[in-house]
Amino acid sequence: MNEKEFLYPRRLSPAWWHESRKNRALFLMLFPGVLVLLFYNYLPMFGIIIAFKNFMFHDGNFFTSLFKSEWIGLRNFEFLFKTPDAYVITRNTLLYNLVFITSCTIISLAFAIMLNEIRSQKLSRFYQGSMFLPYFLSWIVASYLLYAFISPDKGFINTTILKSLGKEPIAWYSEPKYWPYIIVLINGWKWIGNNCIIYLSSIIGIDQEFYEAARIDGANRWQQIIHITLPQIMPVIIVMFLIFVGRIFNSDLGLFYQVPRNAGMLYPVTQTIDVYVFNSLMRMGDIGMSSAAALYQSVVGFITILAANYAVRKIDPDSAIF
Amino acid sequence: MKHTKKLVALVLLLGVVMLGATTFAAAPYEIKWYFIGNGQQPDVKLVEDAASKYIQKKGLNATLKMQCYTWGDEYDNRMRMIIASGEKFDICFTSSWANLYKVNVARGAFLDITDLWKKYAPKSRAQLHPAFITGSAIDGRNYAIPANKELAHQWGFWFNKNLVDKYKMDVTKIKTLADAEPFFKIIKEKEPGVIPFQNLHNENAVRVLDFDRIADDYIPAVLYNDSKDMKVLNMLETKEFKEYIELARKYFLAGYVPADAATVSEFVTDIRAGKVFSKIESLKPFADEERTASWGIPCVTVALTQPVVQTRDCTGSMQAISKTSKNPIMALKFLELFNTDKYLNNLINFGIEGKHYIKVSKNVIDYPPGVTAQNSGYKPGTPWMFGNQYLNYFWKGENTSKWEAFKKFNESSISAKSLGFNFDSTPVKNEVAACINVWQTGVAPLVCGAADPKTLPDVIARFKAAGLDKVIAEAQRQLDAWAKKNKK
Repeated sequence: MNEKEFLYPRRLSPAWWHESRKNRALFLMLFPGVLVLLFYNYLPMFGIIIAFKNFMFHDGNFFTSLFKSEWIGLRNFEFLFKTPDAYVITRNTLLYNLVFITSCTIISLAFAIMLNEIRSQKLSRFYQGSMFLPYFLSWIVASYLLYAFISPDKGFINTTILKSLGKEPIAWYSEPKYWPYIIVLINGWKWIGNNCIIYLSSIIGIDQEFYEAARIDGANRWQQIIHITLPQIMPVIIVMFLIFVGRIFNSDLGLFYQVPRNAGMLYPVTQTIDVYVFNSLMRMGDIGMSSAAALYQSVVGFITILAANYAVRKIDPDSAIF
Repeated sequence: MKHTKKLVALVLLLGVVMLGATTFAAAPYEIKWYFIGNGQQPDVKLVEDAASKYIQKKGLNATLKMQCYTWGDEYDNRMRMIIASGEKFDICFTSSWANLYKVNVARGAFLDITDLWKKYAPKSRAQLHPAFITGSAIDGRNYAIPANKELAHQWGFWFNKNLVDKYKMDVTKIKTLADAEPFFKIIKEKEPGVIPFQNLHNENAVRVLDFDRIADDYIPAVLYNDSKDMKVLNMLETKEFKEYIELARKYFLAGYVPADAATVSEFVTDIRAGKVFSKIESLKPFADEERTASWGIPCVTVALTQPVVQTRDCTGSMQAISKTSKNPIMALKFLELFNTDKYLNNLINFGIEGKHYIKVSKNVIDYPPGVTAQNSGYKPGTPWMFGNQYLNYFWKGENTSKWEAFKKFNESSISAKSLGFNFDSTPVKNEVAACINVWQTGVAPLVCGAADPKTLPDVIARFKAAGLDKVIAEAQRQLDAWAKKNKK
């Protein structure tokens, strides 16, 4: 059995039992991970039924309440589609995620390749570290950093830059037209360092003999990147892409709620499905409706992953993850 | 680890049960109580022990366990988890502003105590103004016991007294929002760095219109307090609202209101720093004393509205019994004692005499030597919301005629026509969700003046698209049925 087949068994057969006996130690090592996956990812899935119930508390514990609650079919899902904002929130969620996927992938890759080309170890470490730092800041901190720049009366841009240019201050938090750019910028600022390190680590793992052979054949740096680096890390890029795509119907509440400071006038460009659900249901406290929203996002995400993987398999069967 | 603990607990429990069965002496029942306040106090154990001892002396075979979570989101988030997980507890604080009463009743989290209350806590029921009992009832059923406190609400100006005195302003003549403009102008010109009028999107001045928001705070389905025909209106289409947003816009453009009023929601920091000249506040007798004490800035208040009692005022501070309680009757008996017994009430609000406070006179207390508000081991910050305010001690320096003033304040108030009516939003759940969203995107920027009043028709159109008319029609239908039943 070659390595690939071992990692991704295509089907279960009696040979699999033989395999498990032979590699008992390996399976034993796998066991805790599987257990965690079962307990934390599969067991709670049973809670999906909340989305189809009018959840009410009854005597006893959570489970008795759950079973006694009345089935109401798809009624919990209605609020997502009945709102006049349904189009806007879906459009925002999808478009932002598409832009995030492309911009983050391209820029992170570019930085990873550039970092790899830097000969000075110290400088390379410094760049990596400084790019990685925003990843560790919470969205609350990020929102205040941004606020320090673009607060209408105290912000750096209005009080210093625009003033010195002799321009009128801008009411940033009430002008939707700037926010698509700000959101994409802030998202990149936070995520690129992280993605960049993932790509960089796989670039470093590429066998140096490829490059040596290419150099002997007279390939320049650019040709090496195009013909060796990119194809070698393609599987990683695809895995990252598929992870992204699975969350295409989700949005980071921190980015879309905290960073624009929940400013009402910006909603046409900042409201996503999550923000809508948060805003409407925080006050109503309806567990069924919020579960319905989450389930809807997960199901659509699952379908998009399957579709994307199918497409990848059509183009390059070796890179698909399943 | 967790399982071992559970196992040990189970074995112990079995042991206890068997022991109990053999000796026939039931162990005291532990009453578990969650409430909101300044957070769990270091000396809470001492107070619990003293309270347990006292209630046992009074014939309740119980001990008390108190858990206090802090103001703001913490209490809400904790209670959401505690209730959702079905944890066993007995009593929790609930209200129209934290651990929302109506939401929890709709989800069935609280025990229906209508009959139990009459039977096991009659005195705490009899001492309440009847409006508390009808106003906190949902469909005629009670699910919580309101605290006996001031009932009506009133809106008015809060002014920073330092600035009022500095410029010798006569603010007492102010009758409306518009009257205050000359004063804002003085502050704007002479005090750079001070906010003349802190009219934020959440802490806003639209409250001065004092509409009776019968559906939800974020739904513009309203009644006039003195409505003759009981007609539910769209607040955004009323003359008052249109006039208000014009004025709010004028103040905003003049720079009286912070430029980021549409996004800032935290307001206390600027007040404490002395950077705010005025804002709209909820008033009651001696509200100025209370605000001065809590914000550290001397203030003057000027009432702009009449004291009014609306349904929401009756649910400002209550204790509910959880459906998961194993002994609701014991919990009720405890609440009865807490609401009527001077010693127990003050013990839980102020701690232990000699340790957390000393008596100056019969009803006035002070800190013992060496103890201050900052280092006291027990200061939950709850007297105004707990049990029966009229039993509470006064801190030295507080006006001891407060309770008489409260009583007068309640008596002088008018009752809103819909007092006692509770809207059930279940039939229009989807529309309510959509409308709440429009409120936050559309109305919030208008009320602080950040948005141009010209956008109002657009906001109204979005509300209609979200189904506001359906919500209003449903509210009207329920209100008519209620009015007929209650002969209004």
